[in-house]
Amino acid sequence: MLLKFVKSREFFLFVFIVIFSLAITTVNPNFLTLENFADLLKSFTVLGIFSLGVLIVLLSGGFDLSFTAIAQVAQYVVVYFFVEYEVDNVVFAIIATMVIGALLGLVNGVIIYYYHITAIIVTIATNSIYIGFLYVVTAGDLLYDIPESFSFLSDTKIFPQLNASGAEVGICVGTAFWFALCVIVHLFIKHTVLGRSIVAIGGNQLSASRVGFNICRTTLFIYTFVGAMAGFASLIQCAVFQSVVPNSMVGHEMEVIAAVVLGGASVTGGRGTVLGTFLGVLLFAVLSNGLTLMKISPFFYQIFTGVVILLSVTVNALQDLHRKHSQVRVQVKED
Amino acid sequence: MNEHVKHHSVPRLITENLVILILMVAVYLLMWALNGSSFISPNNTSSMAYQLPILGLLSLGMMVAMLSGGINLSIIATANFNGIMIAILIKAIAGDNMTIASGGVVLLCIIGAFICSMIVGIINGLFISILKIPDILVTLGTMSIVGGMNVWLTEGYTISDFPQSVLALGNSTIFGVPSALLIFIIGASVASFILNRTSFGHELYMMGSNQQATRYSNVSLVKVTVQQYMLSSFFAVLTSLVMIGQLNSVKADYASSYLLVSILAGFLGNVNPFGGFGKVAGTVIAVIILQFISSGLNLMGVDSFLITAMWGLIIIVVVIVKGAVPKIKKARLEKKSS
Amino acid sequence: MLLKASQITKKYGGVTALDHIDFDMVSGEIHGLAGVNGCGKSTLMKIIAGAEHQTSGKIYIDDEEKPFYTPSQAMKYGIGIIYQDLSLFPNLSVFENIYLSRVIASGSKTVRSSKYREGIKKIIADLGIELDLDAGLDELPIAKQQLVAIIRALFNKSRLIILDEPTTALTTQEIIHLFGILNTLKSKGVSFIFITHKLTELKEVCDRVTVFKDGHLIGTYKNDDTLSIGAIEKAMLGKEITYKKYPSYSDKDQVLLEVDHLSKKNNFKDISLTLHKGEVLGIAGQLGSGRTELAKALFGSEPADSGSVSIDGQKADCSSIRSAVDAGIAYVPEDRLALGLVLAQSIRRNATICSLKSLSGFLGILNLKKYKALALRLLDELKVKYGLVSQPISSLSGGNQQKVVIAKWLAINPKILILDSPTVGIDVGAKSGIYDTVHEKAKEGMGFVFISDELPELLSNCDRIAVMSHGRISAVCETSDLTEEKLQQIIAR
Repeated sequence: MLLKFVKSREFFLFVFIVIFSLAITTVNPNFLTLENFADLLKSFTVLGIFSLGVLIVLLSGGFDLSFTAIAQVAQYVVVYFFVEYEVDNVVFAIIATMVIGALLGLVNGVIIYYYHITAIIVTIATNSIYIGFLYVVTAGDLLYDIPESFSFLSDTKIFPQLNASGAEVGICVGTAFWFALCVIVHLFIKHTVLGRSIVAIGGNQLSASRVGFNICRTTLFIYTFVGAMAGFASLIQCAVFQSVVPNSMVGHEMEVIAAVVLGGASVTGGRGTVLGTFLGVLLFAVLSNGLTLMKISPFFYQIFTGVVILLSVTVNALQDLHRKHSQVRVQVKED
Repeated sequence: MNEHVKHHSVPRLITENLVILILMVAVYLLMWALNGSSFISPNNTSSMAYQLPILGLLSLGMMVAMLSGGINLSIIATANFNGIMIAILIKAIAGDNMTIASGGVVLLCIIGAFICSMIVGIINGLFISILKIPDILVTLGTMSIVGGMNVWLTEGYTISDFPQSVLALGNSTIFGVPSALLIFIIGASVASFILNRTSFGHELYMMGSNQQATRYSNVSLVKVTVQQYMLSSFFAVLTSLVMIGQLNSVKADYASSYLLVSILAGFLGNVNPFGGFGKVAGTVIAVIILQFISSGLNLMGVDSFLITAMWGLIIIVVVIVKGAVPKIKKARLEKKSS
Repeated sequence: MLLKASQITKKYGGVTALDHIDFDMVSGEIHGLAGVNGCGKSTLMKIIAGAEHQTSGKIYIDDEEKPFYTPSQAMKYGIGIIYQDLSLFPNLSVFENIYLSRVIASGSKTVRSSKYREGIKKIIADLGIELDLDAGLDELPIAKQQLVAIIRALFNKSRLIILDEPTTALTTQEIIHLFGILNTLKSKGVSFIFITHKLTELKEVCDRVTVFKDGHLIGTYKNDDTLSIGAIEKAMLGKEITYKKYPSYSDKDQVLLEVDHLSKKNNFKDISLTLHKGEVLGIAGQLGSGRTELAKALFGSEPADSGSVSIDGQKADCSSIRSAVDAGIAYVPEDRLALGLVLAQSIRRNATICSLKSLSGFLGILNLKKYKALALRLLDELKVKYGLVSQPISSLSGGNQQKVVIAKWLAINPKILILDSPTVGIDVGAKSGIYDTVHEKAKEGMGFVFISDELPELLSNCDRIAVMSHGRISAVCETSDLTEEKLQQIIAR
């Protein structure tokens, strides 16, 4: 049991994060302070929530490249109308973004399931549909007037501590939501029939349908779920940045997918854990912070993402090759 | 008893592509009806002739990747990379003012950039074939890396003012025909020749339908895949030459909206998304249709973002219709039999 | 009566897959189904399991008519099906693989696994086997995975379990073990429908055997002393094959292929063989004896770890397909549809795929004239019946498809051709056509390694027969000293 854990991707990531954090701390002692860490987590909360949606899709053997576009649309619509009608209620906003996101995601699910089209093509297409229409309707205008209650997500701390200069520091509510969602998604995957169906479909879709899993309902759920997560993440994003920019997230899909794949999820489906995904995001956060501290050009960030994708899929591929190679074909009689 | 096929080789081009040829004519007439004479004006015709090659060359590069059931997501990043490498190499050799660089230097730099782009193709091919990683993921990774290098090399800025000799490649006319269009026609012919008349082409189609059976027929999947992605990169190189000619500049994110359109061209042009089937002629016709649509919409003053959204819609409509046709056929057949 | 199917007809479009079939099962029976590919036996199984619906006809379970039902309803009626691919989930644990389908059937929303554990443990104990419930399924060998599929069916309270080709991936030992389990369950009243293409297995384990041909039910026979394998075969194929003994062209003085202590971990060990010029060397042995693995190692597609191969006295490199083919080895794989052919592509492309190098010149440009001529010559030489060379090869019959696989290799004139079960599921005419081709080429000096399950086929074609078991060669015999019974004994030893 212990050996299994030591060999797991999660353990490897954990060790890597610890080593890297220590290395950064020796350069900059401020790194391992609650303040810095809470800030780091806050700026990666959006990615973290996106990643939960992506994890579910990858687990099922699907793919989604439209979630950032969904997030942009949900965010814009909600902020625009909340300001227009002077609704200043963060709870309504959370519900509204999630519902809009879920509906847009459902469109993906319907097309993918009923027309048997490769998910990647469908979601590239819906990505440009959503973003295209968003730009047409909004003319690309930015929104700076964010309802005040939204800052509950980004500024309110749970268990606040006072730092040396007397300011409150701590984990913000948005980040707490991320952690809570991690726990919920983990329980969902492990202990509900729907969650197990997602994993089973990712393992072998044909078997899943033969055994009686409801592929239709599951597929629709998966893409709806990614949409809802994207909607929620978009609200936190606008609370953190206090602005709505129609192209602030779109184009960053790869970073999210990279983090999830880095966390051990297989892109061919069936394998992946919430813990791994969480650590994948965390490693991304620590590394990017490290790059900044080491004064490496931010232009490198994209290259770095690509390298991470290639490296982690390579590791997965090598494991698969090894597994295939060591398979017992014939029980050879020994002397 | 089976050689009579040969005598029909010219009409086959038409019969195989009948549906999209009719669609092409229909779209042309529709755009004519919507725009009036401005659509068929020499002005618009020649502007279409200038724009078509960029999309066309990218689509051919994408089609080559689609023949094995994959998608080359890195193709546009590679095209921009090639242009940026040309600029950087020229600047490195001839100094900051590129316009004064001599023809020899320019040629050398184009070759240098070409080699860099081929390396991208080779890396794609090796990762896909040796490690057996899905092509979409590999090209996703290289797209990020190459795209990131583009940003890093240009620091996000536009590099402009190329020497005349480079511009001439993509922006001159030969006997009244735009050189870009000539590059496209030659590129398409070369692609068609390579796919139909070389052993690589045959191996690629076979591999696209069944990798393992092709491997068991003494075909090296590594070799074929590397060649395939080199060919795909080759079209990115041609695209980049045409783009430099027309824009007189390079930037990290030019033409990024064409990724979807080039996939769409493949779909519309009857390239099988699962691999093994697809012809240059179909793709070329599809590109012409898409060019008609985009020029027509432009003339009508449609927002460019709306056009992007339209591509998304069209791709979904095309795949849905394509999925529906066999189902209808099957239903009719079963009705008949019962 | 546990199950009765009456006058079942199934049409796909204009094609009749099943034509007025009557079929029945009683409790505690093992009922074998035989027939070549596409004879309709799989269609009938799918209808019984609820995966497809009949065009006309009725199905009775416990003497009660059941109109169209779904697979999950079938499960409730006590019918389980185990497909050839087992339909398991490699990424889940053994435990989950067993109980998940029942959780779904119960309509529960959450998974409370602990309440299933004892029941499953009891089933495993009753079968007298050992199984780690918490292991990942993909850590188990295929035979254990199959047991998982059977336990799953039992856990779902199946009284009738359909087994589709359950033995293809098993070793002899495992097959014997499986048969033991089937008999144990049979004595407890569980019934099995057993589909296989290996007639010896039908004879060994079944109570009754039903034979299908072209969508018709030829007959249902009680398996007693009067039923011979020959009779089943005759019913399957419509005519009995007569095996004639081919003359030997083996040149005992010239060693063509010498395999020396070839080993590959988990595949085979210490294989030493010789093949003479013009010789046809048979390899017998159950599936899972390592014979296909040996063939693949010689062909370089899954190279050996140690040992050496020489051809015409020269060391041959079999570390990749390319080098093995360059050395003169060619291979007709057992799995024709997955490895032998590119089904969607044309007959001509399939026939010429191995010869493209010799057909092309500068930059790989093909000489179209030579290319077209070669395809026609090959198809003609092997007497392939086809419409147009440009049609997909999937339009040909199995026998003609196999001839194309052989033709594509003969085109490059290899020194040694390995045939792995080349005549499975093909018609009698194509079989003898393939035998004739083999001996024509042997006469010209080509060496053949001929792997087969069909002992009469081996005896009629081969000069010598090597018997493999458990990844080793257990005997090499001259065919002239052998009879079918003797060979059978050596294999079973």
